[in-house]
Amino acid sequence: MRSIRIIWRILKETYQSIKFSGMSNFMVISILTVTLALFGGVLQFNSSIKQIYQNLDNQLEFSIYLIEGAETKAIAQKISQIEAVKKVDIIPKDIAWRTFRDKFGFSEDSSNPLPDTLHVNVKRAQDLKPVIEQIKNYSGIEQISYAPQLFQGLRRVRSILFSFGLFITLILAISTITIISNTIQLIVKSRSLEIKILRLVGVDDWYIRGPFITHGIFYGLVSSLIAIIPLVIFQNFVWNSFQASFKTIMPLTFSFDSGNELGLIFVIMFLTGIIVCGTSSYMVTNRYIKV
Amino acid sequence: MIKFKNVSKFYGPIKALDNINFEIEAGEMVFIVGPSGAGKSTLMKLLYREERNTHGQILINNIDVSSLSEDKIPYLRRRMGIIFQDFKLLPNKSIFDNIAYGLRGLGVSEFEIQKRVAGALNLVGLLERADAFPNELSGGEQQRVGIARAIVQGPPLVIADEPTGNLDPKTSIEIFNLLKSVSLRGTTVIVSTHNHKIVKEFKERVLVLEDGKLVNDTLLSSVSNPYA
Repeated sequence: MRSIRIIWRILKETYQSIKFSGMSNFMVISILTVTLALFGGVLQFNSSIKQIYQNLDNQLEFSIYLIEGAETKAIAQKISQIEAVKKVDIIPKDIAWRTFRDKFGFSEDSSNPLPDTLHVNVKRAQDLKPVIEQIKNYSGIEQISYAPQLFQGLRRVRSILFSFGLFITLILAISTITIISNTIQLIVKSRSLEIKILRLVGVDDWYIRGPFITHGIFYGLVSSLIAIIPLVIFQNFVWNSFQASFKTIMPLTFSFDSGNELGLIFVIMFLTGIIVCGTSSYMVTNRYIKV
Repeated sequence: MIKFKNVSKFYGPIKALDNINFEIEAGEMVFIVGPSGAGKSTLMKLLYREERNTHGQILINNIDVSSLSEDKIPYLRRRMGIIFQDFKLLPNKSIFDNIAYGLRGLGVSEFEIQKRVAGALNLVGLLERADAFPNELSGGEQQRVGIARAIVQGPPLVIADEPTGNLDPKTSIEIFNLLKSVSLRGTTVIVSTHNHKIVKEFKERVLVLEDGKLVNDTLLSSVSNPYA
């Protein structure tokens, strides 16, 4: 019962402390929210790209663009005889052009730039590369397109953006920790008389420090809740519509979805916010509140 | 109850207390007198472990205060009440809440707090002013609130560090009388003051400090003013 009373009173003291901080709360929460949103954004971006790769690695399909005048049927027949090949579909250039023209609104007068295409399905994902290696020297083939190859550049972009994002997050995190520490330090100093009275009455150390630490945790909690909003918006409106339009221009049919990791990202942001803010506040109380 | 054995305290090269030895029995009222800088406040701070002695031993109920670990200090302080020269009242809290503040931190129930605070305020004669704020009280009344806060837990030891330093002589006598009444209830009371004239009125035990040394330890009624 005594412990419950003390916890309740710590929460009341925390409320007083938050109320006392006034506009400082707004400033701290704003900066912390930006930092956490950026951190979450980096994680979300990384997770999305990673999932694209995972999906691509599982691809069973690739496209072959033939040169003008190539023996389309003969090449398709030759490929279908390969042990690992499951199916070969011929997409004549007229059909491919009609589909493309209808989708992107080109006029009927436009000349057809597309070649005949073969869509090849292999039996297992690990067969994809060996089959491509075998086929690429066949005559009549202009280009072989498969998803991992398309994303070679993206791999580098991902790596650069991820490192840059983490660097900016780190800089912002340091600034945020400094601001949180200064805010808590100001509150500790302004409440020095209360702290002294509590110390000399023999109140437990954790009761004295508690409200300042929970105040810091409050910042982490509120900021992570706000920071998730832009990530959800990005996920639902920007990323999903990007995926939808991306699929329409892909020569292959494949799917990728990064939505299922958003929950995990939120948990990481939430815990990071709470741990970083709680630790900063604890360190301030450790430094400025003596037994 | 309290034993100082060869206690010295240094602040860097400065010797604030030099080889102090004395004993105080439970229920005694003892004045510690001496001019400013004599070491009175340092001695008081050693008692409630705000400071740590450099040499010697300080025993309170056979517990060595000087070697007490930091996590045990709150337990030591729960067994004592401390009164300050500047009252140390929270200006934005009522008299009642000032006294209740520490009790709430200790997890005492609201019912128990009501009972104990009312009892302490009654003892210092301020029960009617429970809802007032510190700035609505005179200096003497504020110090009485300080005394009520010190005794509200019913501690066996009360330490008053220059409790009348900011008060006029008449009010000072009132405060000392109040502390005397606390002592008569069986509480050990240690009061530091530089106001030797008023101490003379009380015919209690007096420890005289000068330049960090204990120069006299006797019942005031049997000696003349040691530094008059």
